Amino acid sequence: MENITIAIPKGRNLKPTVKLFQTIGIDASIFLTDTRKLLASQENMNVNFMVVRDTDIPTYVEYGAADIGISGKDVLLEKETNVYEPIDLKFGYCRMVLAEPEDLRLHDDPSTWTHVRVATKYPNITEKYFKNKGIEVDIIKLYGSIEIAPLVGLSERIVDLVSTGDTMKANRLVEVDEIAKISARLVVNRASLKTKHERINGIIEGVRANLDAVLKELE
Amino acid sequence: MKTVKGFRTYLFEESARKRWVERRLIDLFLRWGFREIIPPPVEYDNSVGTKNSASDDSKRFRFTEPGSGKILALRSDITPQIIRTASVYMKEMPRPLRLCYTGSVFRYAEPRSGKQQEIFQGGVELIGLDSPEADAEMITIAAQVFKEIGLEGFKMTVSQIDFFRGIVADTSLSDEEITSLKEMIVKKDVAAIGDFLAGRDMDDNAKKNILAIPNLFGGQEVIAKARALRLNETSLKALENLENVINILNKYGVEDSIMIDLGEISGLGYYTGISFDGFVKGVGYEVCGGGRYDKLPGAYGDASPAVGFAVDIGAVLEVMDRGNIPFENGKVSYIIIDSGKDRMGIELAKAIRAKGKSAARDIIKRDKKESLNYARKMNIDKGLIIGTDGLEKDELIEVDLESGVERKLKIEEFLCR
Repeated sequence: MENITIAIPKGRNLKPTVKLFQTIGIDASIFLTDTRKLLASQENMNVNFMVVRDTDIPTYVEYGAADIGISGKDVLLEKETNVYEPIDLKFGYCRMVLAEPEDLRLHDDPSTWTHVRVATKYPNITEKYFKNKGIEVDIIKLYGSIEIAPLVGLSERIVDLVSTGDTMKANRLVEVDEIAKISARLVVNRASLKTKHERINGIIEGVRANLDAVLKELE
Repeated sequence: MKTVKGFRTYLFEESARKRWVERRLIDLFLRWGFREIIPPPVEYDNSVGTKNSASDDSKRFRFTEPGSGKILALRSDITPQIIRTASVYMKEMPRPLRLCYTGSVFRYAEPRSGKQQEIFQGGVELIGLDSPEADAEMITIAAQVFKEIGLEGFKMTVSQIDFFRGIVADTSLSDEEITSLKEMIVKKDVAAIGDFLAGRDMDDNAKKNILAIPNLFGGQEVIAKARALRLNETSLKALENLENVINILNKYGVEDSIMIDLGEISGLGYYTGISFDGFVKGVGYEVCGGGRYDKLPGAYGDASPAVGFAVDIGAVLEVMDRGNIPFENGKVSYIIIDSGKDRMGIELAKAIRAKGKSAARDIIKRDKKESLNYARKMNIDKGLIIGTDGLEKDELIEVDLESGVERKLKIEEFLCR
């Protein structure tokens, strides 16, 4: 059996990823218990694992350092990496939205916008979104707590992920538009799919077949 | 002084490896009856060599021509230059033309992307033949490139872009929509394609066909799988053409390294029929790529059809380096350490070079040990000591620099070996 390397994401998608691979005999559960471990392997399956930040997964996979990875669609959209995305894994679901303060929303008409200032962790997605609408945008790149930007006058609007909407509500922000639906994706290196076709196709098929059961279990 | 980002200097082993690969490529191409041409690295912007290119316009390096103030660009693609040369300068020559080249193209790469901006390529173009036979010849040569270099486990994926064109022709999708659909298909992003099609006013059969494309990938059985769909004539013809090419490839005996991927349509704006890409384990992008581009010669007033491919030499070097693939490393064979006063070393070096071996003279006065250390650091194969105490005029000591073993022999004898 051909050797393959799988990149497992740290953070909220770690647990579902481990569960999903378990259904096809690939066991990465070591990363759940030993949080300092970054590399591991499972010899009977000829699998090597690495656990890395979810934002880095597409990079590892694009360059072929990993054959397969699990990555959020938000990261894939932001980085525009050249990898295959054959399966929507549906977990890690949230939405990328454009939002602004409630007070502003009351009398604001987005169809009249010509120029806006937006704080976000996702400058590329934001730029593309506004470019498609023909609106000029000044982007302020932040690394976290995006919601407070409008409250402290850093920007009028934000582009960010929402899952329950509670954080937005607590900060008196409302959604103006949904930019994209986000969920975890199985990503595959382009050369690996070709040069290790049988092995990787087997994993893709296995994941596809077991996905619904895993999702049910996660509920 | 800093080197410009995305550019690099190749030292010794690396440049020897690069030269070796370039030679192997050109040798291979010549063996298939191709003739080498060397087009210039600079062109007028918006002219041949820079427009009609597989590479993105926005990635060109531009500057102005002194005197005229016209905008020049470093070429970002060599194929249009070859086609221009064939269409303009070789108009009267009989077809088909078999042309090959090596050279650099320059493409802007995002900072911190880890990508080089000077890309070394070697490639071939077969001009004036519109047949599956020509396509198969190209794919076979491309597969031979890997064998020639000694790269194992490579795959050539073959596509036929008209298959996709036929499918979208049955829809009313705009060019913009087709471009975004293309991107989803290239990524095999079935989920995004599903979202794209959902609720769209489109024939159900066309939807079904579009959704099927990302999975039309695998061995030769893919053709039959594709035929099971309800297709229009353009798509059916594309499959027939693909099948013809595959049949010829089977005759060439390269079928083991061939895969079919009808979802590989990234060259949609450029290729007009068969396209193909070569992959090697561990490099996440194509090591070579090419296809049929029958419309390009038309841009220079020539109706010839054309097919060709280019090898990314930088990618080949990376694979070779990682996999320790052997190559002729261009090591200097001898260093002559001459302690005598009558410059006998000049004659000895001349005699060695005349035999086709390399020899450098250690001209600096220093003791033997230092000379040998220097030679070792410069990765020279052997030391030759002459003119030292205890040696006759017609004698030398040969030192194997790796093992340190020394051997005394007559110069005459040494040269006759």
